[in-house]
Amino acid sequence: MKELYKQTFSHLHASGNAFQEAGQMKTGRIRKSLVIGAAAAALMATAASAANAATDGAFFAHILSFTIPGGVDNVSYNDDGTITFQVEDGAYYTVTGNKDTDHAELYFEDATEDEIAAAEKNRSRSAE
Amino acid sequence: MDEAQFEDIAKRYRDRLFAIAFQYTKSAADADDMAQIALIKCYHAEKPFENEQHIRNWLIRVTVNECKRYLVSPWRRYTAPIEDYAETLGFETPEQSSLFLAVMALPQKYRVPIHLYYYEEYSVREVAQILGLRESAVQTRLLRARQKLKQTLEGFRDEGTL
Repeated sequence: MKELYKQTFSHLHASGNAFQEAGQMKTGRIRKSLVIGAAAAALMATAASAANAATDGAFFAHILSFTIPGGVDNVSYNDDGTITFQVEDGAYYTVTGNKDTDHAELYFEDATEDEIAAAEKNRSRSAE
Repeated sequence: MDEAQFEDIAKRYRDRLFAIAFQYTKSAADADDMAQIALIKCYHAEKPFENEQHIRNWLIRVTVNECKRYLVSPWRRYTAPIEDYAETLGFETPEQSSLFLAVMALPQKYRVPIHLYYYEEYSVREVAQILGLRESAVQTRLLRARQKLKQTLEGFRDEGTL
């Protein structure tokens, strides 16, 4: 069993990106997914206040409040009701503040259609 | 720790830390993150490591602790079905594929001790220390994991997939 187990699980490998990003992280750049929790906190920034006003208070009605170290820059209010902002390490995030959603969604820049569809499916399932 | 030492440690341990993290996350992307966090913490560790065993044990404990934090985090990514991921791994034999799926079908509380015991070859006592459990609890989990694996693998044989 032990030998078979070792042969089997020796097929698992970390991605090359993880190794490169570990090398970058140690010099202070921030990996996108590790910032994601802090990025959600950008909802406390001016952008969120404006979004809240624009949606008659529905935006803040559906989100939790956080703070983000370093603040946000280059905020833009998109035609579809989402807000895009830039955080300290230069990465951009887009937040949906649509009052039809039951909570604020935060997607990675590189979120695939499958990931977004799965997140929306989970949301509608939890709303049932 | 200098750059060369870090790169050497990262090269040697990243796959093992990934495999441990995968037992918790069942997500390659999240397991990558956990392994990465452990390596970065290793780089920034204030006290020097005494020997290779110390580095190994330290990295594994940090990975386990980060994974425990991950399990209570709301920021998990969408996870593809484990069968899809298994197909990307290139197993040489049906036994390997079946064992992988059978292990990943175990509850996480059984998967992790099994992995630390069989892959990392830790003793029951060492597994207990890493996971913060009593030795008797680890013994019980290993026993139950083996029973479940036996049932599942026999099921694979009956279906003709093994």
